[in-house]
Amino acid sequence: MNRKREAFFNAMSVFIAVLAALLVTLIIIFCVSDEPVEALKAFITGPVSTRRRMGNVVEAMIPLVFTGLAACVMFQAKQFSLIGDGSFLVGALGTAVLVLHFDLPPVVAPLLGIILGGMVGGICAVIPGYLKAKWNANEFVVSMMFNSILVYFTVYVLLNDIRDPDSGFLASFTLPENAKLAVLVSKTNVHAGIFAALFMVVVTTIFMYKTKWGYSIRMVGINPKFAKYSGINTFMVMFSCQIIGGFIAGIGGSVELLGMYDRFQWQDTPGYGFDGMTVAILAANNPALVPIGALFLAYIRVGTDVMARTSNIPNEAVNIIQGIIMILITASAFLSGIKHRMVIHSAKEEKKQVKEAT
Amino acid sequence: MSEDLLVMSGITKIYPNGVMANDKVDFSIKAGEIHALMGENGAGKSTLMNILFGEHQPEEGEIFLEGNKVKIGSPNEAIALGIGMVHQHFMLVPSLSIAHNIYLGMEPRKHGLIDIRSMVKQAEELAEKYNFKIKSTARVADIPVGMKQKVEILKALARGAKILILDEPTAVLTPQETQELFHELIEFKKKGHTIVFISHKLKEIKQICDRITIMKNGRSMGTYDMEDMDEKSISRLMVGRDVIKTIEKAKAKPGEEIFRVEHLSCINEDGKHAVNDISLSVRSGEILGIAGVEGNGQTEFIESVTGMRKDYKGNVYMKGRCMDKLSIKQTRRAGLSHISEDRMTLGVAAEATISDNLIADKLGEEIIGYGPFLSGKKITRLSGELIETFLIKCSSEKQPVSMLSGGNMQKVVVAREFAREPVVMIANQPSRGVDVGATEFIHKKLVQIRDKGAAVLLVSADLNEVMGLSDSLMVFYGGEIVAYFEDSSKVTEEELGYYMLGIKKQSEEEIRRVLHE
Amino acid sequence: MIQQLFTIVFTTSFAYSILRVSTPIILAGMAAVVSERAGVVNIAIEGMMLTSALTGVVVSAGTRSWFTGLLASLLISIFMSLILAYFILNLKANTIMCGLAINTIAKGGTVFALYLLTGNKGASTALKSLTVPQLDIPLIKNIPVIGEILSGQNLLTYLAVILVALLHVFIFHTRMGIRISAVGENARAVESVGISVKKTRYMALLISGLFSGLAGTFMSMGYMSGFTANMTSGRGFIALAANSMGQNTPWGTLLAALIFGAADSASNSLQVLKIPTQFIQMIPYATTILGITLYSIQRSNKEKKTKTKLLNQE
Repeated sequence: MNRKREAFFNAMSVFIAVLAALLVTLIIIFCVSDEPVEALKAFITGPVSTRRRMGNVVEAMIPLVFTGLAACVMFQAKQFSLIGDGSFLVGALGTAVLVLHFDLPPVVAPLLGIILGGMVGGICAVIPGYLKAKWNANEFVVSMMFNSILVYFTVYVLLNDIRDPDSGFLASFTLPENAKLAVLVSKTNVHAGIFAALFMVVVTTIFMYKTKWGYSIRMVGINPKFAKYSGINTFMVMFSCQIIGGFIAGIGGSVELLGMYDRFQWQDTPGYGFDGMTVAILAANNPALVPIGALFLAYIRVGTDVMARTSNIPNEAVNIIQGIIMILITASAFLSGIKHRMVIHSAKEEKKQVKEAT
Repeated sequence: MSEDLLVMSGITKIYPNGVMANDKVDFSIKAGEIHALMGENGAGKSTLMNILFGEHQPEEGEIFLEGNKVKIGSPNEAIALGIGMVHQHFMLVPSLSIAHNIYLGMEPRKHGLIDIRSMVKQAEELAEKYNFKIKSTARVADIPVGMKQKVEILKALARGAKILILDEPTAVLTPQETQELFHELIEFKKKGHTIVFISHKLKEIKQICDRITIMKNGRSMGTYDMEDMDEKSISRLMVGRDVIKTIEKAKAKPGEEIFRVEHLSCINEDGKHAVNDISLSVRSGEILGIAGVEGNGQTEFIESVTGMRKDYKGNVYMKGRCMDKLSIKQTRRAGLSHISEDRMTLGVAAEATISDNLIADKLGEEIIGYGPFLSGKKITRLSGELIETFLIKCSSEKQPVSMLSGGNMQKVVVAREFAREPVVMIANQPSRGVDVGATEFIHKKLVQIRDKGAAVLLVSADLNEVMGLSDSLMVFYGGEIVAYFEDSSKVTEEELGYYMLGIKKQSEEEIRRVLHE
Repeated sequence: MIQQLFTIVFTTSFAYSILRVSTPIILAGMAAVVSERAGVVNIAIEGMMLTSALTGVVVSAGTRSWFTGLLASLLISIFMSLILAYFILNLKANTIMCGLAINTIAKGGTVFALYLLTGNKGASTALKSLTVPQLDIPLIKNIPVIGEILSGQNLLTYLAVILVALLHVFIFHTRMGIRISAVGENARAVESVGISVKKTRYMALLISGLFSGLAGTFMSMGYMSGFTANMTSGRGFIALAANSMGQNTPWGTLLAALIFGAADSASNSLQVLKIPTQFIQMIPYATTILGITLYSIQRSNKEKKTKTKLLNQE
């Protein structure tokens, strides 16, 4: 069996999972709504009905691209860490602190802010990454707990360092205009962060497939024993892939803050790290496909938002869709029967060829 | 003569990967005998017994128990028919007590709870009945290997096994433990049990078995009365082969010593002393072969000298440089190549492409790209060259390795390990599961690098290979070197067989010659 | 400040609150014990808790019976655990991903349902739900200090402690319990004596679901009265940590849960001190990480030590 057929099957399982999830949504809509057809229409065509909503889709997609890339890097090495969530938050916080404390010129301010955000995000991943690589402590539970600590840390800094007492709600001082990312399309909030996101897609793809480091990460994920045998430092790979994941998520936090917000106001993780996992699964852990996965998730997110506004169906429907997609893609066993038969078939054929050749 | 208790006739088993493990095998045992099943690795003994115990289903063939045709679809059904099996790898739950392991799933109960007291009592009674000395309340995690095996045997007996299959039971035992086991087996025989005894060790078989069936290449070579057989005739039936191909090579011109191991010992995962004080030296331009039945410490030894295992005692030197503290990467950089015996778990990353597999050990080198980057062009060129030189049959270098046949997969491993002109080549079972053409090719390559001055350490359970390819030869038995032959062409298969099966052992002085001092 | 600390910690109300705060972690911890013993890391405990918390509120409000509410919430949690089992065991889905997916569905689905039922996304104040009653224990009630701590707790708190004892008996003294542990330790050993590994894991996950349901019910019908969005806030994960600290045993996990509970209560009580509240709120999570770390270090050292010992014994 060749690579194309393998790819075909991956695509098939994603496609079927998405289809099944949408089918469930359809059923829910028809059960719950008084005007199911209207609701459905809002869900499907809502996101492309106006320029503003199309803008919303792109805006929602940007942070998902970053955290999706972060999850890809970690998943490729088979590390199931949720640190992306915390790194995203603290990355944004780091940026906010920097641009509020130092009066930086335009261009320099967002650039430095984003770089700092990435570094802070990477630092967040040091503890869970090290504990996993060194002592095999469950990275999932540790990162989850560490995220809670990061949330309290963020609230502390927000309250004691950058809080604007004159603001009507708990938020920082207004971020300086110099630091903000430019809005690209009028009547929307689509900001320059989209370039940063696409740039990161290219960089991460090159990193994963065109550098020795990325190669090591992939090999550790496919067969850690083989990697060790070949002389790859598996400790460093496991440790570093989480830090890189944190770094990318941290950049995502900065970009989101500088592109979409006037003040830093998060008191909990916005949950993008977790959504990034869904995106990575949709993209089959391939960074180059992350924009497509992110676009899809952003689309149904905006779709459910529009639907929530025009009908009685709350936008939490998106979580249900997301969950079903995840569960079905990972349970690709429902396709494995067919796949198995194809493997056997091609093995037999290969044997025949070998026989004929000798 | 008593009637046959159990008959397996015309058993054929083909594994999903296409290997024919059993080819129309006939096998029968009589009530109350100890029946030896012998053969080299991969001769199909374990497969045949796994079929009898219901773990595998044969493609063809029938099984008769006491004249009635039976179908054994699962271990459960085998147990119900009175067949018990003690596997080579213990199937025990470490945290539970001995008594608990024996009665797992059928514990005696009182008021719905497990009645530990009567379970312990039952276990002790059972052990006493068969003269086993065990402390049935001890945790299995804390008991020695020999004891674990007794627990396995009792487990089968507690389930009413009349026919007991023992798969290489002595492989993990000390000589004393082995003798103890034999006393017990003879005791079973007296009590009317029938035993199938799988082993490589001729001496042992000679000691306790009544009849013997010898297998080779998935076929039965016949069943004989033990009385009629001597060690030599068994050895001939077992290791004698149909085709002996001579490997073409010039006489070795050994140079200076390149690779040296001193007093190496290590403990494996089962807590067993797998390697015991081994010292050897390999010179440039020489192939030193390690012969021996598998499981005599070769795996652990190779893991230690290649840096895969760091918890050994002793020292390894390459060109005088101590390798003990080096990482695998440094070891490889120093010029050590390693063909692993375990292709699927160590040798390749199956889901990755052929190119990805070919470059794994070359990350520090410019041949695959500058600085931190990989160069697609360079990798394609390198892969193309290697695929061509090593005759890897594939559609392109982007094909996943998992799609290749076993032989081609091994060629990928060999290509990678040969690509950097090794100073020391450690080849562990280099032609296992590989077709004739590929085997010949791999052998040729090994001779080639020898002639270029590399030191080659070859481990093989295949006598043909290890005798034909090696310049000098040694034999591993029980984690120790038991023989060293300066010139491998002067050794006969028969003689080698005696050392491999633990019948003979050379003196200390003879063995020390391997150090070339 | 130290003095202040002592006056807070050594009060009966503090001890009382430890028990109260620990209850959901104890119950969820037992859910983790059973599944982990069978070799399944059950990440979905969190989602199951959340779902049963809402179910209990809704059904008790509808039927005017706390008992029916409890029953319904247990059923839904068991149902979810069976779905999880089906995906993991039959369809061979990744355990972590599956658990995460169930949590996502639960997190969104509970708010979804709450909104449809009450028109409110935050809390179930519109529903007149009931709570599981608190119990005064006759004799103990009158003992000073101890009575104040032990008496007057929620019925489910007492049940939790009793269930820990029962689970201990189940795991170590019944056939099924032993089987579950054996499957987690060496599945092939269990197969070799003809026991189905899959069935055993189903059983373990079912029990895990039952405990998650109890934990969830306590959240909305004991700890608080009523449902609020995401009210479990990571307790299902803390339970996993408690289990790994408690080394997969019911009593050990109970102890670990009490430590986390104490850290949590302390973080509530210590807020009168001059330490910023956020740092105090970090305590339970930091304790958890510390616990997991110590446990992992000890585990990896143990493996190394036994080997070195054997090698040098010659």
